[in-house]
Amino acid sequence: MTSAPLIEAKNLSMHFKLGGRFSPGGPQVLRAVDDVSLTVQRGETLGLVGESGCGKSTLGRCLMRLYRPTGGTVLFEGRDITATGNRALRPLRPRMQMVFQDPASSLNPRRRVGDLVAEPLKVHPGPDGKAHSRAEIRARLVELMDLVGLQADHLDRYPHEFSGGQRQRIGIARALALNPALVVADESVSALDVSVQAQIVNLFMDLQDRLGITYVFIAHDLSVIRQMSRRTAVMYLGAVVETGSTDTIFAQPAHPYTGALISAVPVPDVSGARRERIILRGDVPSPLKPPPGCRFHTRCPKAQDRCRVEPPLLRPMTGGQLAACHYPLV
Amino acid sequence: MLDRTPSEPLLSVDSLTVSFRTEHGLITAVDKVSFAIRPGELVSLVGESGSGKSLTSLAVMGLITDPNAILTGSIRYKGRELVGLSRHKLQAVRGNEIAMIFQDPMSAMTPVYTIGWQIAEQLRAHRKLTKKQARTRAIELLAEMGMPSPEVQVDRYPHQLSGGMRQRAMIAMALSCDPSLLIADEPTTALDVTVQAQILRLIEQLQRNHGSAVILVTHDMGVVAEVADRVMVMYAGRIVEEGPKEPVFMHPGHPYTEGLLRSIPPMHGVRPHRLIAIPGAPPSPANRPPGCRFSPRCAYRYEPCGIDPPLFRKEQQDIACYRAEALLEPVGVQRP
Repeated sequence: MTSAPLIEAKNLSMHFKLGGRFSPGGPQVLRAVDDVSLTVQRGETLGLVGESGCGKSTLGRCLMRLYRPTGGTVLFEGRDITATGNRALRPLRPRMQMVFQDPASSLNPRRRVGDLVAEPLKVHPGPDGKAHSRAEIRARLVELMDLVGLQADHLDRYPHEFSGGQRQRIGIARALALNPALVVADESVSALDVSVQAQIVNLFMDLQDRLGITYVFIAHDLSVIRQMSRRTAVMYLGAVVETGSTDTIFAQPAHPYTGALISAVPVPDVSGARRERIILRGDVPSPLKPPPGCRFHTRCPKAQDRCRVEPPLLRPMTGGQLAACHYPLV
Repeated sequence: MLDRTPSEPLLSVDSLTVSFRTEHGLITAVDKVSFAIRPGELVSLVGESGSGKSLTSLAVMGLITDPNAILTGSIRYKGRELVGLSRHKLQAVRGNEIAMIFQDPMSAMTPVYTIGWQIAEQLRAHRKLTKKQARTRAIELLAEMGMPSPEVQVDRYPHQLSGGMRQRAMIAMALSCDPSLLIADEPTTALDVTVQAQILRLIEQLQRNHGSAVILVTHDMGVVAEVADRVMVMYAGRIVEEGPKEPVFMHPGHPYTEGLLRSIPPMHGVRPHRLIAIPGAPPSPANRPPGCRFSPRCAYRYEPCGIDPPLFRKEQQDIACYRAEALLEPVGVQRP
């Protein structure tokens, strides 16, 4: 890790205030993201994984500066963008793009695919500072359609004429229109059928090979995270509990939550003996009232008295990854 | 796990067809589906969106109420024909003998009554119980589902529970009358993976302890491998492969089953550079291709595929593919 990271979060927090003075019990603070630090190097994929409500999407939105974080800093290409205003962010926007989960709701049904994909090209000027000409836009559209595996004549159709997988390709084409350095993909393959999901995972990987795009890949599906990312960060209740090389984390998880998460994934394999299953008790606690000490102690099979009081910090494990646990699995 | 001795099927479905009258003509969503469920076995019905797996399970429950739906074929439960049964007679079977759980518990429960009230109502509809007895039984059922402090939870409303707890309450309601057949339609799809593991274990325990047969409808081959005895794979309204779990997973006979299994990113071992995806997308019920419905996406396609393949028997598997028949005498079909 010698070169400067493309994007970096330092002690990033995003707290939402819920309810006002007049709501019963007074205002509450939802700690969606709490003191998260991570770096993403150029050309790599960082996988963000966790269950619903763990703050992975909020973190992605903070990195994209769709939210203004309430604490910590975000550095994009070495530049502090934590509190940069919308106007000053505009020149940076083409460099960072997002692909969403549901292509049906992120594509306006009343506009043709060509208009949808051309929108970023119309909004943002080219690298030379001049607006894109119509001919430039048309040429780029044809190029983009080819890049994502669609045909040029699809540009004149409407989103409803496409299948889910093709609509996700349109969403990707739109995100790539301005040659972004960073793409944050938030559950971009979760809504797709398995047979189609594999196509889109392959597309994401091919695009990275060809264009050197950096991904922050957010998903709840561990097998997709393992396939996509070289490094993984596992989140639980707003905090990163384990981060490091994907191979290490999947082969030798150190945090009991990561271990339970990986062992809980049903695997389509009937050959061998049954794997050791760690079944967690109960549900994820509310992020409005995270448990004291280690956030995971209420469900942790290895929790001891210390875990109920003292919050563990991320520290290096024998496998080389970082984990926030007093009594790690390895 | 599975008793292999032939026994009288609990449920036998024969040539079940569900079509809808639409402004674009008649659309057939489920097309001549036949299968049998034996007592106490856990059968998984797998398929992707639009395959007709949910409609098939709704048809068995007699829950297709769309006035434009046309249902033909036969659904026999314990030898008794359910198709064409009056609503009143069906209600004695439904909920009592056959119960169903859904992906979204909120859609199966009313938000305006407590979960205890709803379970008790179900009990009192089918059993002669006093209100008090029904409530006691409801608390017992919730405890059996692994719900912490059931005597408190019984008075809560569905919205006050988490997704996993709501799913448990719904399962408690479904099992309140000890059904012989439980139909679970994507019961864990909306849940987080750690909670999914709890619910799957619960369904397995129920099947073992109550001896109920279970039809588990899912799109997740991992879930199938985890809990099912037998698998039925649906594609575009048809069952394309059926057999015991082990041979189907180890030697999938239909190219679609094989493709489904291969397109899942592995959790262990070598990470492939590319996933082996199935090209194209599943057809919508309105635009199904002629002949074998999978043929436009199939790597093994050859001339006979223009004609709809029947089910061929290969040892324990039934496979709707000419290749399955041809495998007995190999033909020169090259993988591209």
